[in-house]
Amino acid sequence: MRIIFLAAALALASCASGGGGVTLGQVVAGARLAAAPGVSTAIADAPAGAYKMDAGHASVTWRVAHMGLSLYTGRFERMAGVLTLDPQNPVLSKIETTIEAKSVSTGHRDAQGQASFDAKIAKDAFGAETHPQIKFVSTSAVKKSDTAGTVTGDLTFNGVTKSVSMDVTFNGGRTHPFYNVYAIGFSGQTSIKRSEFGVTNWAGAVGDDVQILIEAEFLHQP
Amino acid sequence: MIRTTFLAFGAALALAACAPQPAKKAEAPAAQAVEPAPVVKAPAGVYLLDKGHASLLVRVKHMGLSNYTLRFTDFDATLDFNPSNPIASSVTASINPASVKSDYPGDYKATHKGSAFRSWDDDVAKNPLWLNANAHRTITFTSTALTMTGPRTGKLTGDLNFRGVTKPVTLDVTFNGDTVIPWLGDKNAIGFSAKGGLKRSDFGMDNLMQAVSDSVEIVIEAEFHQKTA
Repeated sequence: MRIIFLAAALALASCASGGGGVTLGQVVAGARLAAAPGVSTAIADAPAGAYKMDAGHASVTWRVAHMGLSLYTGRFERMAGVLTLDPQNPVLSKIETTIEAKSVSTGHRDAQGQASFDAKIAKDAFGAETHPQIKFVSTSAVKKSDTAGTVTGDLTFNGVTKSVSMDVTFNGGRTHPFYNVYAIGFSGQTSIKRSEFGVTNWAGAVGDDVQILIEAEFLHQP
Repeated sequence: MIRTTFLAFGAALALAACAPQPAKKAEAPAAQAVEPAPVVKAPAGVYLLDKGHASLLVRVKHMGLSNYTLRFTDFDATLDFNPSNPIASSVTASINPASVKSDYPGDYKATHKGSAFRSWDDDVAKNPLWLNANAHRTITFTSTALTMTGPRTGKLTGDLNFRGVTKPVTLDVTFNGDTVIPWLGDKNAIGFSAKGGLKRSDFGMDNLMQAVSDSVEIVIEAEFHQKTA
């Protein structure tokens, strides 16, 4: 059970309305995928070696408590990643991903129909002008079950690098019907404190904890 | 200056309103925590969606490998809020299906040369096999019943009209809280999280059932502001 109470949001919510507040992790709990026909949930069935992120089937969604009222939700539009899979000993696998900080997208448009708010948070929350890339480079992994584990790595954003651990579920693998290479898919979830990366804007209205939800498919590069 | 306002607001609230409330312990086991009924200061009445603080995600399972995530960026909702008798509350919502956004990163035209659509989002929005937005320009939801499952949670059932088919859909709704927004003239604001699901085949959308799951997960975050006369 993984309930993270957001101090700031909770303070606002409980002060204003006497309890409750927004909790991260209450809505999307890393829903497990039921095994589909033709899909193997045995990671050992996947060929070893390099896999490239299938960015058309990948998403990084972030959520942060806003005034104790809701989890403000955004995502990124451009990212890439390379996974080096060791199917016999998955904890020895490595992953490196990059996200374009300027591709942050809330879907919000200003009165002129422009994404000026995205440009503002790219600059003010992600430091995109001086640090255009957000990076995650894995450093270790721990197995929790045949299809789940914790991946630890160095996350760099806003120019600050910190070690972050992420819960990862292996959803399955199969031969991709269009690309004819082996494809594997993962769901990941973690939360970070944005203040640890030097992002303290809007404290009081916006929570410090940022929930990150990842869905990603990877294609074998034989 | 805005930041100062935020900080002052937070501090003022903490000072003014926290004292009578019992401290919430983050580590308290759920079984022992008896959640009190929320004390809601926001008055009953009509509330309009704060479009700048609302999100609507849908997720489908793709080839058994990942939860493919889409969102709509143009939607609206009106809430008739009744905090003293929550089940008397009701909501109507409308979604522009052409506002679907997949964040498809590739060159769609290069890989879909025969396609009549401009982009993958355009395909999902307008293709009669998908959202069929040209024929059905609005997705609507009209609540019909709310049953409470806890002091601040409930099951909201309503009629979803999607692709010209109307079927009941149920959302698990959480009332997150209420506040006033000083920089909007102390406007009353309330916030909700909701999640639910549907089977797309119920609405006649059965394209690519081998690759894309029939079940569709819906994840909503929404803030509302009291309608001013």
